[in-house]
Amino acid sequence: MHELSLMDEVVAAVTCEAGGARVHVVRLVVGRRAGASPRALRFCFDACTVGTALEGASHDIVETDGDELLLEEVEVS
Amino acid sequence: MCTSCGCGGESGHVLVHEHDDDDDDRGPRPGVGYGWGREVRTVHIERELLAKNNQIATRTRRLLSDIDVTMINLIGAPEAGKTSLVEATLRRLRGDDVQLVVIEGDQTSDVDAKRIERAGGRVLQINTGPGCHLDASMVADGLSAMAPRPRSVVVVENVGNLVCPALYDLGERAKVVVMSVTEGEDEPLKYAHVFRAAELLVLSKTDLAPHVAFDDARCIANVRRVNPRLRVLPVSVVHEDGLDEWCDWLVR
Repeated sequence: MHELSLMDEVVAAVTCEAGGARVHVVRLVVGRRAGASPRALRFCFDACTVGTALEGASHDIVETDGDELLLEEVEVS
Repeated sequence: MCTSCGCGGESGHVLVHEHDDDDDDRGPRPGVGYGWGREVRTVHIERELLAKNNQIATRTRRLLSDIDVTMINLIGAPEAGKTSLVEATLRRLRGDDVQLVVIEGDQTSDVDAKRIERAGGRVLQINTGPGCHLDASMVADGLSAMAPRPRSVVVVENVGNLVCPALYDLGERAKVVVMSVTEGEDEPLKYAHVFRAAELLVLSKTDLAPHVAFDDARCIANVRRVNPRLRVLPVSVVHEDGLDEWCDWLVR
């Protein structure tokens, strides 16, 4: 279940980038050859965001044919 | 014009967001409207998700290269024969000039470290607890503790798992998959990621091949479909077959 560690990394990076702002959307790009399951990432999102700046935010995973594994952007206010 | 808020796409609106050409594929923009009365802005990050791990791995690779140390990341399913291969390697290299340092990764217990110790190896056990793989920081800490001498060889035996370890660079020279004949010829097709990431496949327990009707040709064909460049090395620790080739590859 490496998706749990990946999502922990997303939470840490987004918390840092948001700098105290409220996070509404987290957008990831996950390639089919990246070795991470979008379904498992979605599953981990809620668990990993409880009690963080991302709690209540939604997520959007863009799937590609490549091997990217990117935290692309966030929407904050 | 933006279909979400009707703005002309210029900055300075209450709601500022991106207007990519493929926006329509993404459906409604969930962020818009959340920040009623507050400005919602998009922050581009484009950060590789394993960035932190990969930075540590890159640093490890450089540090090891500076002192001419080779590190191998041994990956395989539980009971593939990874520890037996390391024990046999220690026996084989005994008396040679090469110092072998072993880092053992398991969720729990130091059973494997004790086996390696009995075989005469310098070993460090890392327990990952709930974790299913070793990451670069665990291995970097392990290397600091073990302080391998210049020109030695470090064998990292990853947690028994064919899935997650494929994703984590530890700073190794190469990933090696250990797959036993008892696991079946189709394994490369079923766990393709790790077979793609590896440089060498050690096909272990070949002494058992006749008992499980293992089909070499089918296995090799499956390996080729997934990774045409993957070198395959059949090994039997029991019959001591293939160990010279393995040790030559390891200390090359």
